[in-house]
Amino acid sequence: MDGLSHLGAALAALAGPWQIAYALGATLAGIMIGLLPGLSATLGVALFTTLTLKMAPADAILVLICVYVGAIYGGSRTAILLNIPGTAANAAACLDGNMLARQGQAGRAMGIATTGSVAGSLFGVLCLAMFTPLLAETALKFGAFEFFWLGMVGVMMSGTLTGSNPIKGWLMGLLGIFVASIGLDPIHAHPRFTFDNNEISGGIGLIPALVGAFGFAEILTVMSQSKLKTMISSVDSVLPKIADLLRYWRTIIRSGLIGVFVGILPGVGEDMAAWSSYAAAKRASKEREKFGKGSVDGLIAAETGDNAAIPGALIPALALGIPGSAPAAVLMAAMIIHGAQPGPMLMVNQPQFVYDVVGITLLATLAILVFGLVLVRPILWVLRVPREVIMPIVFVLCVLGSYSITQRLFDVWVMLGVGIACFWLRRRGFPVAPFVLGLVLGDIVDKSLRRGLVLSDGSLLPFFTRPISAALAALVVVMLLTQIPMVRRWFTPRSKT
Amino acid sequence: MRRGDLTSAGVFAAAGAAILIASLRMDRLTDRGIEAWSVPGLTPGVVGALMIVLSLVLGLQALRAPAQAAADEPAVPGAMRRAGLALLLCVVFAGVTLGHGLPFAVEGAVFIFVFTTLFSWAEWKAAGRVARGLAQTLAVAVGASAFISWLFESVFLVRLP
Repeated sequence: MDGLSHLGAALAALAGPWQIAYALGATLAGIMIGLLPGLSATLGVALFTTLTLKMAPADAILVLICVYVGAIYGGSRTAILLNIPGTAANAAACLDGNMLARQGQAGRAMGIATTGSVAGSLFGVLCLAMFTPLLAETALKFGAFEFFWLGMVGVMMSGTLTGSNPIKGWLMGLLGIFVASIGLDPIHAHPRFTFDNNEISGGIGLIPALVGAFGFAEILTVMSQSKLKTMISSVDSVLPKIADLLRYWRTIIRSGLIGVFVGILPGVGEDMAAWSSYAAAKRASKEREKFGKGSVDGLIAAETGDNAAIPGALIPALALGIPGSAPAAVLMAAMIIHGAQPGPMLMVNQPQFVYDVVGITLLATLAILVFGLVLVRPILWVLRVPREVIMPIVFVLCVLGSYSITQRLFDVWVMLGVGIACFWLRRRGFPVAPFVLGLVLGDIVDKSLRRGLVLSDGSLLPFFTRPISAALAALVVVMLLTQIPMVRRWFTPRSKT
Repeated sequence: MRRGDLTSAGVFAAAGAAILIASLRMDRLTDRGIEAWSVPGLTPGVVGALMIVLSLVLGLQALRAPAQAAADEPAVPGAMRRAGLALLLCVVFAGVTLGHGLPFAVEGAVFIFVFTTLFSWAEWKAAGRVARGLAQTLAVAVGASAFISWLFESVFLVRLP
């Protein structure tokens, strides 16, 4: 009953004209960010974090969640019309969305994408409202040992699943943990890796580093690529057919479940949710041969999965302080900037905040439904703006966004340095998401490891013998072992010759 | 052998070694009587050691892998030249000229104008619309820079560099 009254209060607070205006404006901005290849949801949330610093905390979080939801949805348009995912989360939507567009059904594909996105989001919102309090209550029993392993599981899982080679992902995660350790040590306030430089003593700011990793690096990547192909301009009706919804209800529910589950996994994110949902839909479908050739089932699965992962990624971010995806990591940082403390104590200290997030995600979902069905053609004009014009403007925003938090030029140099490093690493196949997770979770990992060792007087046993710690440690060991070729061969069934 | 991965492994191994050495040499604060298990260099030291181990594994993988699997991204003609030019322009704007006297709105406008012009010049020339392109770009550069500067300075109360 407490939950329902909190949710009612959250929805009532969001019914004001300013809140609705913020939600509509931010969702539209998010859709445009998602539409433009190269501008990711993470960059959108990071840039808007700097733009909303002076806003009231509730309004700022409203804007950021709407940008996040809008960006993941907006990317499907580019996937359908250009066969280029607007964000990484929409890569799976390219396969069938673009094929439908080539068959003269671009409008239908966009309608299906909208329906799938809204259904996935709504399913995720329901899970967010139900599971966040339960998980937070369980997490109240966690100590330093469990938090150390949770942080490590986040970094390692992100490294395992977001790139082609887990070793590269783990190296990026470790690099993130190291970068997070630069500055004053959080326990004894002793300077680490500062070279007696006052600027570095303040640490590497999360937002400048993220803007560099997802903004500047992305600008360099986009400018190194060939020009985009001409988009499909003829658009039929975008109103989804009820028959499509009824026919694929199983796909919607299955993809919603997969999306939420993958979203909850630390640092894995929306793109993996979309691919997992797509693969599951293909396995379950009676029309497998249509997948990749314009399957409605496939498009619904991909778009339901990635949008369900958004609330899914917020569940561990709110309940444990461990973000489920890169944009959720930035959002969590923004929540901290605005005075919320994500983690097990959130449900104790600020229970209303969790339901505010549920209400905001619901509002953002309704906003994408409105824009998805009403503003199709005007929104598509954004795709006609050349990248040569968009990218320098985005860079100016990256510069001011990095600078504006503490108003020091050092943060601009951090943005440049991280951007150049991430561009080089990405070209060599190193995924950026584990670096972000490492950066966000570095503080938890560092403090939990040292506090745990102090509590156990230097013994490593409690890290492996407490029940939840043991389970998390086992997960890390399994992830490590599966990368050893001999172990992999052991578990791979041999084909009879 | 995958040469790119081997180079990356070398860079990460060197970084890991540097982190490990710096962590081992870090003050253990014994004069403050702190617990030996909470020394500031503990976590970075573990991170440095793990980076060395994983770099060695990556290096071994690279040595064993066939050469044709080296490319992580398909080569795009002129990709590095375009990325290099974008990098140069961005670094000159944000890392060199920023905060050295000129108002941000002017610097921003010049950056947007130069960036767009350099990357669009060939296309404008081929289409015979250089003058129109320059005029449009100037308008966009001045308008965008003025708006962004106003937004941060007047709405978000940021003292611009």
